[in-house]
Amino acid sequence: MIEKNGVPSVLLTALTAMAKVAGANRIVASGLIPHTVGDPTRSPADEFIWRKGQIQKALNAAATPIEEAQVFADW
Amino acid sequence: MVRIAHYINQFFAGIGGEDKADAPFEIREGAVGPGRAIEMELGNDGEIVQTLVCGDNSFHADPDANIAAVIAAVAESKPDLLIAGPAFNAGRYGLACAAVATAVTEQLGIPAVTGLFPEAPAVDVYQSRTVMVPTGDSAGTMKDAIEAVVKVGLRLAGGDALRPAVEDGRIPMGYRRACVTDVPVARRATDMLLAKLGGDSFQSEVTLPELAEPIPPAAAVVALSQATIALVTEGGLVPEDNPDRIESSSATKWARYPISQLEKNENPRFKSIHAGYDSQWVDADPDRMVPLDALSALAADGVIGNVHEYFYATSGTGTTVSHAERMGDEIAKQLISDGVHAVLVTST
Repeated sequence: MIEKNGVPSVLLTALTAMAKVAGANRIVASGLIPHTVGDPTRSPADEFIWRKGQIQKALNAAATPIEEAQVFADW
Repeated sequence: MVRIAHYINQFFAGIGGEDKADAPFEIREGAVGPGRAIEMELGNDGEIVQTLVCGDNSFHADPDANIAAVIAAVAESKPDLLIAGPAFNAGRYGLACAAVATAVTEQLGIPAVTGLFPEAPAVDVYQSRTVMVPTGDSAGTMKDAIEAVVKVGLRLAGGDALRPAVEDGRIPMGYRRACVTDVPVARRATDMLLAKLGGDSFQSEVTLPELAEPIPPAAAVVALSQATIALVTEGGLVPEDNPDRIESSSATKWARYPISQLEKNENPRFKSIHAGYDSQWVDADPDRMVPLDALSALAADGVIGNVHEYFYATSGTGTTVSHAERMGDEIAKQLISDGVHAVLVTST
């Protein structure tokens, strides 16, 4: 709905199939269900670097013109 | 005596709740949990020979491996039917049930049936591929759900062809089968037209599908390095006393909180009140759901202009489509009036 109002939105989620069905247009696969932008298997320092990478991907998606719904794969 | 394999999750197997959603795949003999009620409903008509259990999170962490494990187990036990769930309105469990039922039929040719609330996410994804029986939206309706699932399941196991969904008591799969009628089409069409013109009720033979209209993608952000980016989450991250009383499930409310408060995370601390996932990792570090540290760092690096001063939150489990759409609309209007250029939404 945020998108319907004209604001580009990027959805970060572990469940990309559901995201497509729900109508999201810019989808970034990320993390696992209980921690979409977290990775507790990494050390805190590595986790932060990983998270920064995920958010950078999401920002790149926000800046990418698209015609239809897309899951943004690893860049 | 119909031999049945039954797929359930960690909760219905009695292993544990959300805290055990990473329970690995296991095979148990005979009926477990709701399987016992299924056997009572079956009476002498059938028995559950094998129960397949998998945690809701572990299933989705590697669906291919888990489905392969199900297929291997079922290929060996050779049941006449697989029952998955019922899963009611559960997101992850429903998807797992539908995926398992689909795989067993597509890969082994064994009939399968699952029970789902018609608005459950799994229905849109799998309804054309596997037999589904409509249920209520919670396990409170288990008795009726089991009755319905067993009725359809026994027919499938007996090799009966599917009848129209309405007759069978199923969620429509979306295809039509030709059948012979003794009323010629010209007659049926004119009868329908006369009814329509006369203001009488009539039943269209072809049901027009209700598709959500796809939303055209919003234009991409043009000058990212000058853009204001806002964080939105359905992970239910709120101040620990939940001052806006956002519901843990079936939310109708959203709220926004200053990112300065989240950054401090002290008086108040932030935690998740979302009832649909184990929030221990997010409670320990809220950045794992609302990535404020990462976004702030990228703003400091000049990748974006700045982080919007508020983040927005609600709970996205069991949320009805109509409430979700309304909340999204309200949040959007607020973001636009605040001059936000793009939004990152995190979802569980």
